[in-house]
Amino acid sequence: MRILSFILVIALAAAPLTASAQRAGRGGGGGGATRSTSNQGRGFNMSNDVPNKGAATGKNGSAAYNKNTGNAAVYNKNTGTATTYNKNTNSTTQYNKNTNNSNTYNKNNGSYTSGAYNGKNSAGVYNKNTGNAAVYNKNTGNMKVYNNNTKTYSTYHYNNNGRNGYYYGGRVVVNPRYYPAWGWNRGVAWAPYGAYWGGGFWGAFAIGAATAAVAGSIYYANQRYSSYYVSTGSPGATLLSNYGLRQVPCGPGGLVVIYGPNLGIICAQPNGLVAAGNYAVNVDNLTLQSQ
Amino acid sequence: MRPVGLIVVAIVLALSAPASATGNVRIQQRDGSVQMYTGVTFKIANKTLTMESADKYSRVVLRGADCAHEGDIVRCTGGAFTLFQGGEAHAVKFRSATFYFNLTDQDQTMPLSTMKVGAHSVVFVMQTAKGTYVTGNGKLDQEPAP
Repeated sequence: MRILSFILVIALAAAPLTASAQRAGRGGGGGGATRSTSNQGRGFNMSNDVPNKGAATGKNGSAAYNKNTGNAAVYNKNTGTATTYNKNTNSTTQYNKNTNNSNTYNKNNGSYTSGAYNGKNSAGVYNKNTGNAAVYNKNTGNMKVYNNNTKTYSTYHYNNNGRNGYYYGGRVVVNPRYYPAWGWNRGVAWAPYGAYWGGGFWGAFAIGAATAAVAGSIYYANQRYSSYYVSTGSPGATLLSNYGLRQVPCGPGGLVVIYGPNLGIICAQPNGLVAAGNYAVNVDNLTLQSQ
Repeated sequence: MRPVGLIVVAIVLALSAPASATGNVRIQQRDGSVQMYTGVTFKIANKTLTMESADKYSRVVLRGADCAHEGDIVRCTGGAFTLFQGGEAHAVKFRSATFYFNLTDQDQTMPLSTMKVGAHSVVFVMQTAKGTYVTGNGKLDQEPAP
């Protein structure tokens, strides 16, 4: 007890709490600072002891800070910009919805390096050093890439019908039959059927069925895919017929490799219309497009 | 109005005028930085001590402390410490907290010290679990009836 009293006296004596030291008087929005930092005029500063996270909404936007992660974000509705701070990377990123671009500032290297844009329907990345950029549109599944060296845009189309998970953006080899959309299927939209290999595009081969004859295999995206002989009367057979292609087992080089729906891959001998290489199928008009 | 009446009214007004029942709080952060707060209001009600910043943005409530008389001074330790700030309540853990209350009409000398606690005043020191030192003193704006 006496020891505590003694400590208290010492503590209070050390603190300039006497009336003479408090000439700042009342008011002043919470008192005035005497030495070191002043309080912020917002009550007691107990920021070391209580969570200091939350959000504020002001006239021109809103802000949020997470003390646990150290990340923060502020949005300015007047300029349409949002700025985020990532404590892990020690970088800030500003998103601008008006120009659809963004910049990321990295304090570590003191330079603008790259940024990301997350718009209503898209996400993208921009490299300020190279000037290249890529934007992905989640509605269409397409990805648009800008190459600053060539000053050109390339649009990579997602093979939406096939859900192959790859993009194609190369030269289109027009089908000599010039089909309108779904014209090859009497105007009826075709969709892959999940229970069949290749969605049934190359024939109604049930996945895993031993009856389908294997026509080699293709190594794609770190995985080996078997190819099967195309069934007569299938959409794939129509495609090969239109282009005058003849299917051969996959494996050797110098072949036409066609990535059809649902990773149904077949190979064919090149001809005067279709050169050797990788192609995807646009099932709308039964067209090949190089990757 | 008669002069006597005016004098009575003046006396009543003088007695009912708010006394400067405020005090000071000093907060020393873990990093050594110090903030001083003046005009802090101290109140005791329902065995609860409340300290409110002058801008009324922060309110610290201490309740459930163990109190005992030491002569004319009441010494309290421990209790639950809650900070109300920005519309939120935050429980603040602390390592130690000692409050001395003088509820008498005369200044009282603290034990083992020549320091006095003013009449109807409080003097306290506490250290939070995070290492923040909070010290203060002030006149009680409200205190329990004897």
